[in-house]
Amino acid sequence: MNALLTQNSDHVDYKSLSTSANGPMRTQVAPHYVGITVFPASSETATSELIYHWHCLLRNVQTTSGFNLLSQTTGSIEATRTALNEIRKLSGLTWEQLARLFNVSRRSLHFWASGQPLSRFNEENLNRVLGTIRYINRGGASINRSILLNPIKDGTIPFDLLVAGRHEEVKQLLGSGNVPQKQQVKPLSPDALASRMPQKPEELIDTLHDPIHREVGKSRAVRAVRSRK
Amino acid sequence: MVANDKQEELVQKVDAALKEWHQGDFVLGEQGFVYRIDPQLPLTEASLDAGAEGGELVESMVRGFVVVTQTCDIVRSCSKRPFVEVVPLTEVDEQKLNEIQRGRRPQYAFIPGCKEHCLVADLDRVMTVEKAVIIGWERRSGCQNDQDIRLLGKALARKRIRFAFPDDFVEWTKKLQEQFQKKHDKFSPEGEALRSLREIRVRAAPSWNESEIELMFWFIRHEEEVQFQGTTWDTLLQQWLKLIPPSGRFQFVYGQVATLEEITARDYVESDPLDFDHLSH
Repeated sequence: MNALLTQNSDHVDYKSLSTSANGPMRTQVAPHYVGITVFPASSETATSELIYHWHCLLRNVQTTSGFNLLSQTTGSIEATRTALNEIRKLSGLTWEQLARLFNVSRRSLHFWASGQPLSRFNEENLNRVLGTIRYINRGGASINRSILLNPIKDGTIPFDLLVAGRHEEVKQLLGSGNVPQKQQVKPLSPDALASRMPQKPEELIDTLHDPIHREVGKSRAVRAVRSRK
Repeated sequence: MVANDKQEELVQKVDAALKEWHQGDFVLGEQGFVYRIDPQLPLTEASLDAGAEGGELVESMVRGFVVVTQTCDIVRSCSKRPFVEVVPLTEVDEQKLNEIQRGRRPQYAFIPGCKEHCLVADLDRVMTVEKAVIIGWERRSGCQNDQDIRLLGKALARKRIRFAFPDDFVEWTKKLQEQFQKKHDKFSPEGEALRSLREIRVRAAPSWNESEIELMFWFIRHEEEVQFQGTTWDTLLQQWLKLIPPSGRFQFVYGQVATLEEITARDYVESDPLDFDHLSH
């Protein structure tokens, strides 16, 4: 098995599954993910279905050293998902353009971005594209999109080179963006975050519309005085 | 001249008194809520009685009023903005108070300062009063902090600014709505997932008015929740999308589960929140 597992207990929450009502059966992963690649050794042309079964197999394995492969696998999927979303946000490319770039349907891309495991080939390609986009990043989605889609001197369109997998050429043609790191902003307090939360879907579903008794105290007719203005 | 001076004095007096008032502040005690009726078509007992007397207005006594006008408009000079909106306070039992506090009854708004009296704001009834009326009221603070004020603002907004989705969309999403209704309180992967969604948004392109529309559903989740009893988000997404297959005007249907970090500001502003409460009633 060609497996590169990176363990970093500072970043990954290795919670195992729980069935208590209080501790829901969710696997939680901290916001910072560790890049992990899990490849089956047998085939270079593994289909995403095969990889998916491989992931399912890994989900049920807990090693004797207590190393929980489930969390690692989940972490890997999360890393891939995050990578695709970063490509979209950085490149400014549309879903259709990204689908062309990866030679898949737009629908498949949405599933990838929602956490569907990728084939080894697609995972590698995704990371290469991310590396290239990060390298040429000029600091904004619209400018990045523009330099990728506009023809350069000899009429070459960098996006076409990306589609053809010629990443080094794209890097050479467009050069490094050298964008300074984004200023980290102080996070809001939990109370401030909570007050900005929209009404949750589960609460909207549960909305009650039956009338509560309307308090109408003693009532009387009052006369309106018409305004002439 | 004398009249002008007196008027100016009154304006100053009202403006000074109103400086203390904020949205959500309230007055307790018997107050008259006035509303218009058609004496020929009375809908309530009160309007039946008033109509018999030939009146077109009814004054019914309520337990107090909450000011719902925004604070910036309350404190603007009454020479330019002479009115404020108030809604009556109504008494509810503790269970209903709790439901209203959690936003389950959008017809009412929870006013933290009224909690001890088991009173809530009845948003179905609104009355406009001149600001001078307020200066005779004993002000009680309704909201204690920024969070309370935001929650009240959300309750008021929810009552009035929900987007009206087209009827064919409402009909077409029925199966999805029913599924969510059935599963959201179940102890199952799907139930868990639904409870951990932050919000659901939908984008219609080019617009809701076109004869052929591309829809994009954004299921916005919290960052930490990755899977539920082994079921991953993409599996749930596939199940949900099966319930809304392309049909009628909605020929292209996409969906994605994403965190707030992952969607762009453009994705967010170009989409509308899917208000199941509004869709299903």
